[in-house]
Amino acid sequence: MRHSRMAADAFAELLRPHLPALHRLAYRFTGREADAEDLVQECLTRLYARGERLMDIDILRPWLARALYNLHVDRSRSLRRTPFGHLHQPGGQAHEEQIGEIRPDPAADPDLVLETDRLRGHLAQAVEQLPEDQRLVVLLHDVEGYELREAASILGIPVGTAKSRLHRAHGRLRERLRQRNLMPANIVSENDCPAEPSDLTGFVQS
Amino acid sequence: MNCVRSVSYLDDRIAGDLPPGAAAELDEHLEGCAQCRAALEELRLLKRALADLPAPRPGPDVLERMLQAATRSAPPARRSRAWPGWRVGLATAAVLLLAIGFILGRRFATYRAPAPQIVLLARPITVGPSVTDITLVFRASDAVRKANISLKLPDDVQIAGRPNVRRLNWRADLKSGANLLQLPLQATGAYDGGTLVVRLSQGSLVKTLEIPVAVRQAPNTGAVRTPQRSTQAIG
Repeated sequence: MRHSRMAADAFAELLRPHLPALHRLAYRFTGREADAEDLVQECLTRLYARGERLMDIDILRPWLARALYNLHVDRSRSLRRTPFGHLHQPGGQAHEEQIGEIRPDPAADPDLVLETDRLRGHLAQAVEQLPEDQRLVVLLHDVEGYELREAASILGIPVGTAKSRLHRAHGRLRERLRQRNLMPANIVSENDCPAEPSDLTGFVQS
Repeated sequence: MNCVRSVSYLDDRIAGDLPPGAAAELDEHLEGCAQCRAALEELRLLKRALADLPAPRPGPDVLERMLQAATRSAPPARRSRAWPGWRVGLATAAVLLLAIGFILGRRFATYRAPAPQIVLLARPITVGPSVTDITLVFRASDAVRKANISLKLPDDVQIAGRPNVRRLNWRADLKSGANLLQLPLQATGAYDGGTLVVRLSQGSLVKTLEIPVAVRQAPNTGAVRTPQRSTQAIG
């Protein structure tokens, strides 16, 4: 009895610092807060019931992420994916109307205030529409900050594969935001490169 | 190195994963290629925005309930081997260390750095009826988060494809070093120059740059009318 209490306490103390990140990752995978909680709860319950030797694991965070990912894959095989679904709703009806539109109508938006929220809404939507294999690498590496080799290990793929998926995903995302003029600094085509030396003489400056 | 290869290296360059030889080759290319430099900045912007994507934050009570529910549901399968007493002690020590680390981290986080220095740079601009890409440089001594940037266009000059936009405001994060902003500009019907005003503000930090804009009359004449107002830099 005493042993059991100690085991529960040790488990809780070891896992507690990782829970916010685990919950966030579950949310990235599932797209809904309620589903994220379900997923984390089931993951914790399984880990504890199996008596996993978590103390022996060097770096727990990616290990837990992999356990969570495997469980998510098991659970979602029969479920339809709805990541980031609710993000479009708060104050975001306009986003729905803009789907398929190349750029917002300047006449309707003369000052074109590029709000961070708008960028986030569109970016979340663009991430959602990525092919699943690219989306997962972006979520783990760019959004949740796992190193690329950690992300590759979580997904069970070679690092080179993760790298090329990430590169393709970045290309798509930049293209999507470019279409919506959400990146003023990006009006650049990768195809034409003048390669002229940058010459700072003659610049005005403040 | 050509642009296609350069672009394929940019992710690695940001992650610091490029072998020294390739990094030097890429740097040399970037030095001479404004397009690839802009692509690098664009990628940085994208990655910052991705890292900022919001997620709900459950309260500590929610997480605590989850832990309790997990440990209540079933005893661990290999109870005594999986969680022996000395490991409990270690776990407590680890948590204590984490807490100390957290407190120290918080203390360092509240250290106030000196205000960043920002310099805005641009060449005097000449635009004609066809679209010209101009580049503005925001050189920051330190990263600046959520800076307000605004642009005010002179009369008779428009952002390509946006005839009704006279002013542009948005928020952006600046990284330490040079931040590039590219704008496709184009002269409209009337032929007069003016000043493009760029303003950056964040808290008490305000920087304004007035860039003289000359309008080229027509593609063939080559005549240029210079703006009436003289350049004035306001810091």
